Amino acid sequence: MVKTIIAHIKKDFRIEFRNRYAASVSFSFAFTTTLAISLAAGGIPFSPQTHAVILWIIMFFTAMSGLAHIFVREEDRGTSLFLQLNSPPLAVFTAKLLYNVLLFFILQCLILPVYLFFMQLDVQSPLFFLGYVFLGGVSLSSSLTILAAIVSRAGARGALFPVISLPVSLPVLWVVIQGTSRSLGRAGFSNPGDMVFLLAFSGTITAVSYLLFEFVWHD
Amino acid sequence: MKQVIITCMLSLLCVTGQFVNPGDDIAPPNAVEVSGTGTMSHGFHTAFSLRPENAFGDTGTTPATASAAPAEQTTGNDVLYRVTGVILIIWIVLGIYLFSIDRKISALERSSREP
Amino acid sequence: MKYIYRLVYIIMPAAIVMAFLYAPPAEGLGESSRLLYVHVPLAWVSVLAFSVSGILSLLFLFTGNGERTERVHAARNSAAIGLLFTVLATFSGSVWSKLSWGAYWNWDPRQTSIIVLMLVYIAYFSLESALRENSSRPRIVSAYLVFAMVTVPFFVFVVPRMFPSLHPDPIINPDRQVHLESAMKISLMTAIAAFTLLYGYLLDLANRVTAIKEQQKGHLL
Repeated sequence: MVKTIIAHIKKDFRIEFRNRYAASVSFSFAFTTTLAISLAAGGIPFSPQTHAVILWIIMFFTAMSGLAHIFVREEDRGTSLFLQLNSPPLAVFTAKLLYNVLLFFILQCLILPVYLFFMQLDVQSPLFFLGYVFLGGVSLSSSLTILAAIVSRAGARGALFPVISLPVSLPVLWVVIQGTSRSLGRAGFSNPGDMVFLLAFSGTITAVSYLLFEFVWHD
Repeated sequence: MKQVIITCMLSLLCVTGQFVNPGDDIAPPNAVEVSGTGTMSHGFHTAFSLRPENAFGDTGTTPATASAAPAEQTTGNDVLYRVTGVILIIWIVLGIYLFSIDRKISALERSSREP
Repeated sequence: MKYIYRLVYIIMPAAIVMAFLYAPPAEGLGESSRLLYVHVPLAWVSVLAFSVSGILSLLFLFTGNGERTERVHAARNSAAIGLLFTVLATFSGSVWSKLSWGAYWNWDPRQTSIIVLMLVYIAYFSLESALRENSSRPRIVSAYLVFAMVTVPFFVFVVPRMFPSLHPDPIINPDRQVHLESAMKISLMTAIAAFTLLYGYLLDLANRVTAIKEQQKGHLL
């Protein structure tokens, strides 16, 4: 099972870096949005709360543009039936989940410096700031993977994915925006309770996703 | 189903309309307190004391307004009877509609069970 | 079961009379506190309808080998009624918010949770219509509803405890008790019972209509 999962992850990354569709579209979206906001702001300083809101809106819509691709690609190329027959659903889901988490982590590593550079962000509690950003990314990508599988079977995928993802992502967004704004604004800020919430949410959602994936995956 | 939705929304509008535009008929809060009405816990009172003081256009109790309090309370009660009457009428209409749907569905079920 | 739901014809008028004539107005809020007997039951029923949809979807997925499609139809009907009650709860809540807090919308955690519930219902119906041609539609929409059912408790119960709320302590408090005077408590409980029966009655009617439609579809095929 582990070998199958690793093989699937390698295959997905190989395909992704061959044409770089999801990564380039997502990063381009984040980059152009950050530039547009920086240009429109014209050097006006934002409060930590405003920075947190803007950063997470960019992150959320970056996830919307990139995280559904892993399942949509399988449906479009006609390889999903082969995957259904070839590999157990748990292996497929684990591979796709880890791929999405890693991809979003890479995207966040690219987006964050761009945002810090163009928006002149001054972080007061760097450790907790990074913790919120990356844990929030893990929570988002783990909750959106099964929704990507659901939306790949439907029509109007581009518009449907944000519609079905927003209610599920809101608890994460609410907590990370509050935590991010406090870590930006206050030196020595420390609130491990929020981190525990994000971990608990990710864990619960991933567990439920495992239970439900088989119903979504098989015809 | 559409008529049910419209009727529910209209009934809610009628109910809330009485509160959003109280006019001179609804008794101001201090007149209600004088007659010893129900209380909620301190937490509720504290939370709801956040609302503006003159939410009902009342600027506080004066000797002139205190003497008018019983008359205003009677008028307030009249409004409550009217509101209750309107809502009961709306519910009766809604109830008759639901009952007629129920009977039609029962008739359809009976006809579908017959060979 | 449908005969129990018909008790709504008696209990709803009783709830209306008790709300306006029996229960006293609250101190500080005056007569506008009577919105309590409309808003709270509507919010309660919207969450109940969502839970019923989720449980029916769960039962469809995990029992019956995916053949009990009447559960999917019942879940859909419950979601439709739940959406109606959610809209009404949002509307009544925003009117009360204007009277109490001075604005129709404050992004109070409880207000946000009812909007999230509405978003879940809207997402469910959007997904259902996007899957119209797909034979796996019952399983996929049921899976989404179960998934959403797991996330909503985080939003309804966990997140509001983490952030301060404008909602009153007598209804929503750590003791999980209703801190109201007895007349108000009885009126509130009667209103909740009336609205629950109304929901059950509407769901029963909708399910019976769906059963007749499915039967006729079966005859045609």
